[in-house]
Amino acid sequence: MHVTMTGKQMPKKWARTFFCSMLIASFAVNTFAQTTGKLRMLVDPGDSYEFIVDRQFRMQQREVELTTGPHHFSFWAPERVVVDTTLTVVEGRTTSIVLYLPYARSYLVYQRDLQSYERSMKMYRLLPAMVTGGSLLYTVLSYSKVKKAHNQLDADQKSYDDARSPRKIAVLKTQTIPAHKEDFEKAQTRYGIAAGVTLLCAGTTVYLFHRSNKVTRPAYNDQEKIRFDGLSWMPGPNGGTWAGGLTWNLTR
Amino acid sequence: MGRGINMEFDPMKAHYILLFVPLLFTSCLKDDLEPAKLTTNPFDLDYTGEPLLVLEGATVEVFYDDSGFPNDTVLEQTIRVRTELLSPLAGWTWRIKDLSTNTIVDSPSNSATFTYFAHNVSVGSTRCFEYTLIAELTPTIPYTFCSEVEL
Repeated sequence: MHVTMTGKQMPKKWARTFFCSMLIASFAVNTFAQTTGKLRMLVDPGDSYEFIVDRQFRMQQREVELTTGPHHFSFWAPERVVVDTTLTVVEGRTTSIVLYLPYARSYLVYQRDLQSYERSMKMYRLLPAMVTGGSLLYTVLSYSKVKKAHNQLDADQKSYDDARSPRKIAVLKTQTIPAHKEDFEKAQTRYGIAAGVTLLCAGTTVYLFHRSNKVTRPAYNDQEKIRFDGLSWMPGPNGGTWAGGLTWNLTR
Repeated sequence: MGRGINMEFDPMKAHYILLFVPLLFTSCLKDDLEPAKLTTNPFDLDYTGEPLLVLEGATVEVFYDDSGFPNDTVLEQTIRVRTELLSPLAGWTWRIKDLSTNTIVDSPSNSATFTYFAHNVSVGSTRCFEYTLIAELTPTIPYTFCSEVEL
C-alpha cells in the first residue's frame, strides 16, 4: 500500500519527530549530568591533617564537595600514619566521616627513644645536679652553724674581757668555753664532711655532664610524610606539579 | 684561625668554680680561743698582766697616852686599784689578811684607794699584808705588800 502524505499530515509528522528528539535529549542530559555530594571530615588530629583525593588532589579542609560515587582518600597528619580508604559520596547529602589517624610506628619508636634519652639525661644531669644542690645547701647550713659557733666563741672572748667576777670567769673557762669549743669542732667536722661530699657530688656532676654531652638526642624522621608527599599532586596555574619530600637529619 | 679567649658563660665552668667555694669558706674560721691562754682579765685567778693593786705608800705613826708614854705604833699602808685595767662597771670590796697574825679583815669599802691601819706593830719589824679584792662575793688574786716599821 502506498501512502501519500498530504498537506495536513506533514505538521503532525514534524511534531512527532521533535517530541522524540526532545525525549532523547532529555534522557541524554539525565544520563551524563554529574551530581554531587559533600563529605565532612571529622579527623583526629583535627588541626593538622591533610588528605589526597583520588590520588591526585592534595587538600586540607574540613568539608569537600565531590561527584557522587566512590572516591579514594589518603589521610595523613604529622606523626601519624597514612590511612588509605575509599569513601562514597551520596548525591545531595553531606556525609560525616569520623576518622582517627593512628600514630606512626616510627613516631612511637621515636617517642620511646626520646623518653629513654630524657630519662638518661635526668640520670646524667638532673639527679646529680639535685644531689649536688642538696649537698651544697647542707654545706651552706653547716657553714652557717660553724659561723654561729665561731661567733659564740667571739662572744665568749668578749664575756671574758668584760667579766667582773672571778667566779664567772672560772665558769667561762672551765665550762662555757670548752662546751662552745666542742660545738665549734663538731660544726667544723660536719661542715668538712658536707664540703667533701659536695665536692665529690660536684665532681661527679661535672663528669656526668661531660659524659652526657656524648649522648645524642634522638631526631624524628617522618617517613609517613615522605610517603604522603610522594602521593600528592599540587594543582597550579599550569595544571599542577608532582611533589615529593626528602628529609635529612642535619644534627647528626 | 687564632684561638681567642672564650668569654661566654659556660655552665660547666660554673661547676668548677663551685668546687672551690667550700675551700674559700674553710680558711675563714678558726678556733683560736684557748681557755688556758685567757689571762688578761685582772679578776681572773690566772691573770698574768700588770699588778692590779699597787702600794701607794706606807707610814708609821706612834700614838702617845696622856702621860706621854707611847701606847700604839700604827703602820699605815695605802693601796690603790689600777682601775684602768678593769671594765668600767667593775665593783669590789676589800679583804686584808695580816700575814703575821693570820687575822682577816673585810671592808665594805669599794673605793679605788684603801688605807689599812695595822696597830701595835713593833718598830724594826717587817709586816706583810695580803690584799684581796672581792668581786661579786668571789676573791680575786691576792697581792702582798710588806713594809718595814721604821720611825
